[in-house]
Parts: sequence; structure tokens; C-alpha cells
Amino acid sequence: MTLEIDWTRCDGHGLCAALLPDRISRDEWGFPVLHGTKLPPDTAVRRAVAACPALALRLTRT
Amino acid sequence: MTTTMGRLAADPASATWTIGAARVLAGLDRNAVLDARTHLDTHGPLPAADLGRLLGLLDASGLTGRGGAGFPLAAKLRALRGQRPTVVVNGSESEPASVKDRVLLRRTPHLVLDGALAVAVALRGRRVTVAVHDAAAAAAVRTAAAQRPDGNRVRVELVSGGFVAGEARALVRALDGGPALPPGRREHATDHGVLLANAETFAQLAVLIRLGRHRFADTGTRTEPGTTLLTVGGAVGRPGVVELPLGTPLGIVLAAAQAGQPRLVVAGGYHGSWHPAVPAIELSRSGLAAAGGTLGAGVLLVLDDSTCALGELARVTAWLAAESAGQCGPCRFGLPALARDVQALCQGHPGAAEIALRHARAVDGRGACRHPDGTARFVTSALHLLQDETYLHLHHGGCGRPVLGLLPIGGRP
Amino acid sequence: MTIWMIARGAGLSALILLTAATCLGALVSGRTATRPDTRVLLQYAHRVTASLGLAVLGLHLTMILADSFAHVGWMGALIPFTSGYRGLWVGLGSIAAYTFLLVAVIGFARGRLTGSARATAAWRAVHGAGYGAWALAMLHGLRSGTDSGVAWVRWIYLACLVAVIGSVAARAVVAASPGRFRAVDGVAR
Repeated sequence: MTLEIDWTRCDGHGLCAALLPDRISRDEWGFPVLHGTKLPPDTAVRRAVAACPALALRLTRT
Repeated sequence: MTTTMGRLAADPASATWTIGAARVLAGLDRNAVLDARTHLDTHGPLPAADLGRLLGLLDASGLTGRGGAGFPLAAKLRALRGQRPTVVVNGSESEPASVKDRVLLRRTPHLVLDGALAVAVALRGRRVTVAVHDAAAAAAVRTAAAQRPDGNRVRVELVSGGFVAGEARALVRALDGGPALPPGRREHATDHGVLLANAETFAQLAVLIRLGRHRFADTGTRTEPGTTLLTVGGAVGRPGVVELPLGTPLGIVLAAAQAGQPRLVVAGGYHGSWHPAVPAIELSRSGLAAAGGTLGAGVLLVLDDSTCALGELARVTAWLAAESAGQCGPCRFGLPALARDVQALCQGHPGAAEIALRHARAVDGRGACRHPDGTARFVTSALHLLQDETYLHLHHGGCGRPVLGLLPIGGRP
Repeated sequence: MTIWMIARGAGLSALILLTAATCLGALVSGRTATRPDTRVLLQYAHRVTASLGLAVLGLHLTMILADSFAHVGWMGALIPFTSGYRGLWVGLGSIAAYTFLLVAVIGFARGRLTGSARATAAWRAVHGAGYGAWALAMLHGLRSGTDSGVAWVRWIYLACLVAVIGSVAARAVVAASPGRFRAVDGVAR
């Protein structure tokens, strides 16, 4: 699965980084930085996708 | 030099010249505008071509989009086979240093329409929409459409908007009545039943249909046959729109453009890259890729020792930052930070170059469109090249040269 | 008689839990809390109260159906405005329950729905139907509840009203501040 960010929706809330600290960090403005986009579809990743207040995260099959 | 650039910006239709035989620009040395008759006299009638023949020609020539992204036209046609798409000619040309598409639409509109209508006929599309940002090009295309029997299928749309609005998907949205902004998801114009390509791409296709694959490949390189258009500007005696065989060495273009003491070139436009004026660099997609750059939107700007290169970089970076549509956070905050870094570098702040490189990496690939990526490439390539200037600005309070504004921003015709 | 008492107690409990879920929902989306960790906790609280609220709502419905003296019956409970007992107000309760269920389902599917551009764009508006469901539930409780006359029950209704109005107001205040990127504005400038 690939984790993608819709940058037109992302407002830098930071919930994804709080839930996936070893996969997502935040840049100096607060926007997420993905450490590799290929992810196993595990619970933690799905939880982060569901937590995004702006619905800016999505998992796609690739 | 600034005056010649100024004249070019004010009247993009002023100068065209060629290296080798003129194809796309044929007839423009004798005529201000090719109307229906002079167009036919110059190029001859357009042979009919069904989809199979078009695809054969496109596969043989490998014709790619000439707007910057360089996507193969054949792949777009295949994606839309059987869908009767709208054909969109992207003539918005939002790159401020580029005038080639406007020159084509204003001075040889029939050639562009030939290519676009051929695609529409082959794909059984209903309409051709020509999207432009300036009124003169719109008027020229309308006049041309009125002169030809198939012109009733042509619609001209005068769209407004900045740099980012010329991006293909932003344009498709604007034509659909939406905002002129790139969408947040990976999608292509073809997903919307739209075949969109740059104005030059359609003109090149019209040339390809007339010449056939073999004669088309008489010039250019083996992998990239044919010619390309470049808008040449900056510190040159002959600025203008130039048609040249793909693969022409940079040195030949610089000599023909009467560049006195060229030191640096900006290739591909403001999403392109900076290079030393090495005569051997091949002006083709693969040639520039080998030099770490891109042919991009077909722009070649020359800098000599008359201007402060760092100052030029700072002006353009500030302009690029202001052109961010502001819809993606890293671009909205990162590009202004990058522009401040480059400005600080000009003012001799220690460490500014490192911070600028860090900010360039921070915005790369993190937006709905390629604006942050392109800006990062532009700034990074310049900073790697301008280390002598950086040293002078850091330790001697500057390079002692004025900022002439050889890299045009805003004030577009 | 016990069944009837459970039905009433479950109804009131469901209202309290779903009020809490509504308030937490307003607070978590309105960026009234700014620390990501706090907001993650608020989200969990929102989901837990909503799930519990729906479970207790199920109990409320089951007990109403189980009680032969209630004169509501399957039809009256499932098809709005067909109940013999206070048809209008019981009907509002049915509509509220359906809406809460819909809102919960799309809330649960939130992560999966981001795969579709259209669903993503519509999600917030549809999920916002929860506010309407809450208002209907309040009316339903006040007008068809047996205990609405009891003083401490009235205080509970008032507290629910104040809590939701307060949370929505807090959300509206944050939403009215200019520009996007509010979450990062403090950092960025």
C-alpha cells in the first residue's frame, strides 16, 4: 500500500505524526514528512489515515 | 541587453530565426502572419491521417509534449482512443521567459490548428479548445478559425491566472468552470476525457503529418528526431524565438544569438536549471538530462558578467514564491522561506546557502503540482553553480555588479 | 415494569453519551485543542462515547419493543410517525437513531472513504448531520419521555443543551479566524 498526502487538504494538524512517529515527522512549518511511502496496511497506518482531521491522508493500492 | 529583452517582452512577435531549415517557423521570415492562403502556400495541404497513421507517426518520431512535462503524445492518444475527447491546445504559456507558443498562435495559428484538428478528427472528438492567456493570441486564432472550413469546431478560451494556472490539470479544471488550481490527487487530463497538449506540440504534429516519419527524422538526433523551439533571451544580441534541430550544441545557439561573453545559461525556464555556458551541451531532452537539467518549457536565458547572478536568482525566486497558489502548505510557507534565504545570501549572511539548500529539499515533491519541485531544482542548480559569487557576497560585501534583471519576471505581454 | 424502567434509563443514558460525542466531535474538528496528542485523545473519546451511545440506544430500542405495554411496536419504532403512542415524538426519535447510525457508519469508514475524491469532499457535510440527529433526540426525549417532568431530568436536558451550544460556539470562534493553515500559523510566522 502507498500512503499519499493530498497537499491541497493538509493543514499541518500533525495527528498523523503523533500516531506514526517512526514513519512520519513534521517539517519546520508543521507539515508531514513521510519516511518512505510504501507501507504495510497495518492497524497503526489505517488509524493515522482515519485520524487526519482534514481527510488529507489516503492509502492506495500500488 | 535589458532593452532588447524589454522589446522582446513587449512584442513577442518581433523576432524569430532558425538554425537549419525552418519547419514550424516556415514562412515567418517573409510574413508577419500566415493567413489561410500563405499557410497553404508555405506548408501545402495537410494529408488525411486516421488514428492508426497518427500513432504510427508519433511512435516513430517519439514526439513529446513541448510544454515542460515532456509526456509522449502517442500515449495520450492511446489513453483516449474511443472516448471522443475534447482536444485542448494549451497556449497559456505562463512561463514568463517563454513566448514561443504565443508567437505560434499569433503568427502561424493555422499550423497549430492543423495539428489539433487532425487529432480531433482521428479520435472523433467534437471540439478543439484553444486556451490562451493573452487577447492578441485569442484574436489571431479566432481569425484563423474563421478562414477555414473546419474552423467551426474551434473554440477559443481566454483564461486568466498566474504561473500555476497554466499547469495542464489546473487548466482543465478552469475550462470545466472550476478554480484554475491543480487538484490534490494524481490524475491526468486524459482522466477527464480531455486530450491536452502544448501549442508547439500540435504545430510539430502538423509538420510530422506533412513530412512523414522519414523526412521528419532528417534532422535532430536518432532518439529525438525533428526540431524544437526555444525562446532565447538574456545577454544576447538576437533575442527571440528560435527553431533548431534537436541536439544542436549550445555553443552554436549562443554564437547565432550573438551572445558576447556568455558565462551561464538558464535552460528550461524557471522550473529548469542553471548551467555553465559549456558549448558542448546538447540541446535535447537527453542532452540536458545528461547535464543535470531539462529542456522544460523550451527557454534559454543567457547571463554574462554584466549582471549579478545571485541578484537575478533572488528576483526570480521571490517571483516564484509569489506565484505559489498557496493551496499546499510546504509550497505556501517553503517558497517564501527559500526566497528569503536567497535574499539573505545576496546580503552576505553566513550560512544562508546551506539553509536555502535545506529549504529546497524540504519543498521538493511536496505539493499538488510541480511548482515546489521546479523551484527547488532552479534554486539548487543555481546555488551549486554560483559558489564564486556566494564567496564574494559573503566576504566582500557583494560582487560589485548591478542586478540588471536579465531574467524576465512578470510584465508579461 | 423493570423492562420499562430500563428503556427509560437507557434512553436518557444514550442521550447523555451522544451529547458527549457531539460535543467532542465539535471540539476535535474545531481545533480548539492544538496539541496533536490532545486531539488524538479527543478523537478517541469522541469515538468511544459515540459507540457506547449507539449501543445504549440499541438497548433503549430493544426494551421499548420488548415492553408490551409501551404501545410502540416494531412498526412504530422502525417506521417514523406510525407509533400509536405519541407518534410524532417517537417518530423524531426513530429519525434521530437512523441518522446517528448513518453518521457513525461514515465516521467508521472515514479512512477508507479518503480513497474517493467525491466522498472526501462530502464527508464533513454528511457527518455534520449528527448535529441534527442530536437536536431531534433532544426533542424526542423531552416530548415523549415519561420522566421529562422530573426536576433532575430537566437539569440533565439543560446541561446537554448548554454543552452542545458551548462546544459549537467554541468551534465557530476558531473557524471564524482568517485563513487556512491555522494549525501551523503560530509556528510558521
